Amino acid sequence: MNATQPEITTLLATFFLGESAFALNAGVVQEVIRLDAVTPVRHSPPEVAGVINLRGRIVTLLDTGLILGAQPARRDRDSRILVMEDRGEFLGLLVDRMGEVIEAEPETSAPLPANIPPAQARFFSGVCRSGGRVLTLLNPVELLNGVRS
Amino acid sequence: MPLSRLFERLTIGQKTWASLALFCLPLGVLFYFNLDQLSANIVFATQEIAGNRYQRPLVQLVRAVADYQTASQTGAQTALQNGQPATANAAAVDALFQQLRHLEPTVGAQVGFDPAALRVAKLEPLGAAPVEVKWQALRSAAPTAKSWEADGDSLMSDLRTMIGRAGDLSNLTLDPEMDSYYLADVTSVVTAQALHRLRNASLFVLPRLRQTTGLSAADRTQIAIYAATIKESDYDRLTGDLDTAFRENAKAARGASPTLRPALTPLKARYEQALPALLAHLQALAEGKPQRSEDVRQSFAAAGQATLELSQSTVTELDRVLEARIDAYANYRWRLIAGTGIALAIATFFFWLVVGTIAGPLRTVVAQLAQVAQGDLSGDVPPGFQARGDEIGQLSRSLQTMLVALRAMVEDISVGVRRLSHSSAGLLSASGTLTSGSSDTSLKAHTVAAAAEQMSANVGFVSAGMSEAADNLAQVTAATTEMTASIGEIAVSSEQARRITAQASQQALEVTKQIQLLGQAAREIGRVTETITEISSQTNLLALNATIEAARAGAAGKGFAVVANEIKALAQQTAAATEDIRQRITGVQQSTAAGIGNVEGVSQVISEVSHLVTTIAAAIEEQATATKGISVNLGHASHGVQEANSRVAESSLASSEIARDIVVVDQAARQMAGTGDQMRSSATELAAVAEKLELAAGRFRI
Repeated sequence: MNATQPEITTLLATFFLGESAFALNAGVVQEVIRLDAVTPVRHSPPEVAGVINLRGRIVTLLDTGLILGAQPARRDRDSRILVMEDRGEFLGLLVDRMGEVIEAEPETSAPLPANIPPAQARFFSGVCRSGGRVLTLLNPVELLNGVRS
Repeated sequence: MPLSRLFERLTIGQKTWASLALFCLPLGVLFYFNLDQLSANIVFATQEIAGNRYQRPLVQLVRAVADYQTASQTGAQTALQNGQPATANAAAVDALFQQLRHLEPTVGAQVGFDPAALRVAKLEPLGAAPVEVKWQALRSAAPTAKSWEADGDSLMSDLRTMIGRAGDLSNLTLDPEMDSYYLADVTSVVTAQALHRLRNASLFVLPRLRQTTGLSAADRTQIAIYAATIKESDYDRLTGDLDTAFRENAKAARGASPTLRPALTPLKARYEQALPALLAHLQALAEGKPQRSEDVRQSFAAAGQATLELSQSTVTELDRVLEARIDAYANYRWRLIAGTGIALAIATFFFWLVVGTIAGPLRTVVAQLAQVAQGDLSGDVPPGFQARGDEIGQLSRSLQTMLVALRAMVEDISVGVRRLSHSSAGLLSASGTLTSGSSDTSLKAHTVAAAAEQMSANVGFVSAGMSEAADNLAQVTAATTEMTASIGEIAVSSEQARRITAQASQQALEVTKQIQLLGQAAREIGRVTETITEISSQTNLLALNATIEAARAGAAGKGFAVVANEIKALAQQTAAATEDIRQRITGVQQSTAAGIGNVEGVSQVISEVSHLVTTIAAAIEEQATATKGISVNLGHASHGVQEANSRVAESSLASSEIARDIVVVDQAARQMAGTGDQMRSSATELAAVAEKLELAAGRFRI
């Protein structure tokens, strides 16, 4: 699938890290699961929270907060994992909590503000407004690549 | 009172004799009047006798003059009545006049015939001399003279007046007995009158009897008148007088004459014979019966004689009666004098006895007292006096007691004087000590005075403080009383509070239990809501995933996406409701926890309150007991303070007094110091006096 080509009506899965609201194209998300038992991985980078067993599949759990240069994601009852597949490999993004699945409104989209540091700026594709709040749109490709690198 | 002062000056004897004199005074007065009366009676009787003596010749003169005239008238040699010649009768008259002249200066003067008395009574012609002159004129006149008969009549009237005067002046009416009165009527009036009338009758009748012509009717009538007059005025009166005199004399209380009736009865009988005979002749003549002249003359003579003799004898008997009377009076007078004298003698004797038994012993007792006065106490009062029962006896006994007591006293004095002498020496030395001691005293008195002033001031402060304390105590007592009442109320209230807190504690426990139950129920609900939340969360997740799946499915998944959205909305509603429930349950749980906490706090507070209340109750109980004790003690204290107050006042007074007294002591001490020397000299003098006293006491003989 081509993530850079949004469909006419694009659905955005929104989530939160701390107080910041983020949005991700719902099409790239396999499913959303709860945080369950996490098996830590030795010598892994700090962004890798561990691995989880999802119905027989190994999903690598990434700490989205750390990846986005912010605080580590909370791990509690509201914590959710957005499971994505990238070339047969399953990744899980650990976020503080899930928001709504909303329809994207292109007219509200705007470029990133200039004061974002370049190291993180590659993970964002822009901002948009929804329900009176500003959502930061994530670039799932860069996000996955960044994790690979 | 001068009289009482005079009596104070008199001795008892003089007083007694004065009393006797006063007692005798009325006796003497009575005696005098009695005696005077008796003497007057005697004088009267004596005078009566004198009158009789003077009367006697006068009566005889009447008779003699009558005889002379009748004799002269007839010219006969013999008188008609006494048968004697006129010359003889004339001589008899002369002799009688001589006798009268002789009597006049003595007896006549006694009965009022002295010339001075006659002049006073204007009766000068009734003196013996003028009447005799009249007689001489009659005698020298011829019987044939015209006024011869009338002159004789006048002379006889004079004589009769003289007789009456002699009788009148004898104070006859003063005689208490009647016999003398009637006898005097006979002697001084009736007989003279009778003789006079007989003379008149004889001078009328006898010449006419000698007439040859006889008696005329007028003569007879005149004779009848004479007869009737003689009968009624002379005869009846004379005999009546005599009979009365006899009767009265027999009844006379004193001085009855035993000879009166025997002597006069024969004469009276003769008179009673002679007069009726004459009257019978006169009666006969008056009736015209001729009578012999000689018979008539003789009957006249007999009647005259009988009358004269009766008169003379009556006078004699009257004298006797009067003499008997004088004897009786004299006898009575003598008895009066003797009785009075005896009474006086007896009284005097008794007074003498009284004076003797009082004055004599008194003199003895006074002599004894004089001895005592001179210091001789050795004598005793005679035992005879002491044994007496009267005031003298009392006096003697008291004097004896006094003597004994005086002796003992003088002995005591002697002993005392010796002691005094001894003591005066001691006093002399003591006076020196006193002088120094008194100056010390003065010094100390100053100190004490200052201290007393200080003390007085202090006591004043204390007094003020004490009164304040008393006031405060009174206030405290009042407050304590109020407090006791309040504590009682508090005790009641605290008991109530204890009970209420116990109830509250119990209720708090129950509330806690209830709240805990509620909390448990809330927790259980919480678990249910968590399950629901979990379910709704999973449902939500499921819906999300469905949405995502629908989104991945593209247009095919659109319907599915709607369902997923619906499910998600349901899940979100459930989640919101659950959240709401959860929040509410959480609120309930919080409220429950808070309620439990609060209830526990309340419970704790209640138990604290309960504890406090119990403590307070106990404390109040103790407080009440203590307060009662305090109240009682306050009462005692108040009483004590009051007493102390009064004590303080007393001591204040006392200290003031002490201060004053100390001043006095100081003065006294100074005086003592000043007079110490005087005292020493006095002690010396005292020693001298003691010596003198010893000497004086030694003078008493005990």
